[in-house]
Amino acid sequence: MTLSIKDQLTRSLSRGAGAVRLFVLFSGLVLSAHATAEVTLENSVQKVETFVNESGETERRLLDADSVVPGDELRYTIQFTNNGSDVVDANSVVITNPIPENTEYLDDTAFGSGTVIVYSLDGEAFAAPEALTVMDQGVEVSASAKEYRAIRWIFEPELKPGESSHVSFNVRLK
Amino acid sequence: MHYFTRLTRLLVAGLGLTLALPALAVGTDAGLLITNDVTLNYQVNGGVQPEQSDSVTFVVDRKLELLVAAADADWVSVPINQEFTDTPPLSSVPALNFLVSNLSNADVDVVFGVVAQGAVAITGFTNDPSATDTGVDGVLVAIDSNGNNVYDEGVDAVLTPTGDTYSLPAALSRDPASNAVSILVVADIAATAVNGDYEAFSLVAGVASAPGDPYERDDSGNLVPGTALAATNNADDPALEQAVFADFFASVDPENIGYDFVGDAPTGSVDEIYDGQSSDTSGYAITGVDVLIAKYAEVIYDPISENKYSAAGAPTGEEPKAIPGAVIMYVIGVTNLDTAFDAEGISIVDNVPDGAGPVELVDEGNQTGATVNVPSQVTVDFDLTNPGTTTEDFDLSAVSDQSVITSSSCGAVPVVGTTNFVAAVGPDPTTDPEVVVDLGTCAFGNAGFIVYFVTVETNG
Repeated sequence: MTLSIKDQLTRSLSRGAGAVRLFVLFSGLVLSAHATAEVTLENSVQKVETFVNESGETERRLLDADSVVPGDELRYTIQFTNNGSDVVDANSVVITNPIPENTEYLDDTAFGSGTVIVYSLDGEAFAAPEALTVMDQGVEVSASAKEYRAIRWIFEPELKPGESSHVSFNVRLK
Repeated sequence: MHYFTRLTRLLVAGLGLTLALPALAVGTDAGLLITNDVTLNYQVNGGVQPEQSDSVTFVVDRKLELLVAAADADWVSVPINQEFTDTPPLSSVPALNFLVSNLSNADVDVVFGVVAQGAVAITGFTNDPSATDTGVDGVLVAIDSNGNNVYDEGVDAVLTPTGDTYSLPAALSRDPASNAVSILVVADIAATAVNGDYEAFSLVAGVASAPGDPYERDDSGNLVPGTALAATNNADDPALEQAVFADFFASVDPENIGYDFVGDAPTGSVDEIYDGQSSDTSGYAITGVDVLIAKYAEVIYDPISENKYSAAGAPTGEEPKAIPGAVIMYVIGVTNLDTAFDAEGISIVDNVPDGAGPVELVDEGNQTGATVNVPSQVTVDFDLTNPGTTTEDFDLSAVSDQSVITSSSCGAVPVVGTTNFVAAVGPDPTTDPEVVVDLGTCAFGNAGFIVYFVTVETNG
């Protein structure tokens, strides 16, 4: 079967939406009957550009990801908002983001105000960086950021109605 | 004749060869979709809420980057009057070597411009600030198909230009195992060039969307030299593979220039960043002298008619024929056309098909002892392509038909009335069919020759 790029995009997005719908169907039984909170999230990407300003100093700025080629640094920003009328429980908002294929996480770039950030080497088990180790020629060593396959943020405060916050991380396109 | 000439030149000209490894291409393939999926879970009053998710996707764009690197470590030695247009097939012709690598994340077509820059200094080479340029009569560009760093006609694939722009016949792969191509630039050096002259050539490679169709701009606000198009910095289309010039490193060497593939002419200015091009420069140095060699033959005796060579001029109808038993005289002339430099170590080697061939070298040219006439003078033409333009007269008055080989050291031309004949120095003709004569040094403007005789075999 041959798919055009647009076809592939459409199918990708459709599958994602389908997965969400299915999850809603099967998890409906455990929903609180009185819950009216509705947290939405928005995922976006920008390119990080390094440039020299008029003073000759090197600066970094965020641009629309107009043209993305290998070697470019990208920043993914996930914004989440409580659009409901109930308060979201403290320590209950958990954002999980696998590192996109063909990219590598850039060390110490994960950010999230009021969050605890943990990482995973397999997408299943999450821990702080110092607890992530790999075997290198028979010796257990700390894993490098390039080996992280997923990031998880745990938002510690309550998220009151109308409030929003965001998390972000940077990768480099291989 | 040029073929023999070239062999002689190679005896006095050095040839430097170097090898270079292709640069490695890296990067995610253009056109690949990169999707980021994120999920969010939360609770309200202890109750688990529906998981939320969102995705963002973009297409990896075409990072277009070529790298041209001259593979020659220094000026490439070339003989005076190197030619390639009129003497096929050519073999092992000195050439400038360039390695063109595709560092893009996609296969890419490539166009080339070749710019002769005269005696400009080349960074890293051994330069002579006072050098003058050789002048160029023509250029040939080829893919070094057999990878031997020299041009071999019929082996290396010649690129035919459109105007002055050359194109690779197929896209250059992005695969690191095959992302480089060796390009040869062969020059037809002007006949006026002399020892010590230089000629630099810049090879400029530009990215193209199809063979012979160079990019004029990318989607990131960059233009190629000479285009009339306006720069466009298009917003990213996540479903479209856009083009981005990524030649971040402009050349720091002033001899590396840009090329206007739109107007099909060099820009005259240095290679810039993000212009979809890369260039590098190598060059030729004349390190040889213009030594030519040519062979002259004359039937001087025919045992059937007993006709003998009489004199140069119009046929009389009584000329001896090259029949079995006939005596043939060969004259091999050498001339140094350089105006400033001597040619040293000149050695003439000529194969004679002794015994099994149609002629044999005999201990006496006139085997039968018949009375024959040896021409008193012959005129040897060194350029059969342009008859009569390069000739030398050789005086044979001291040559005996009873000699095996007679040689004359180089002397001032016209070589008339030569008296410096020396004893024959050839090998034993019964065991070694080669005539080998060491003429030694031939000063600029001088000429010399050897003479030997054979008989046409009578036994078949």
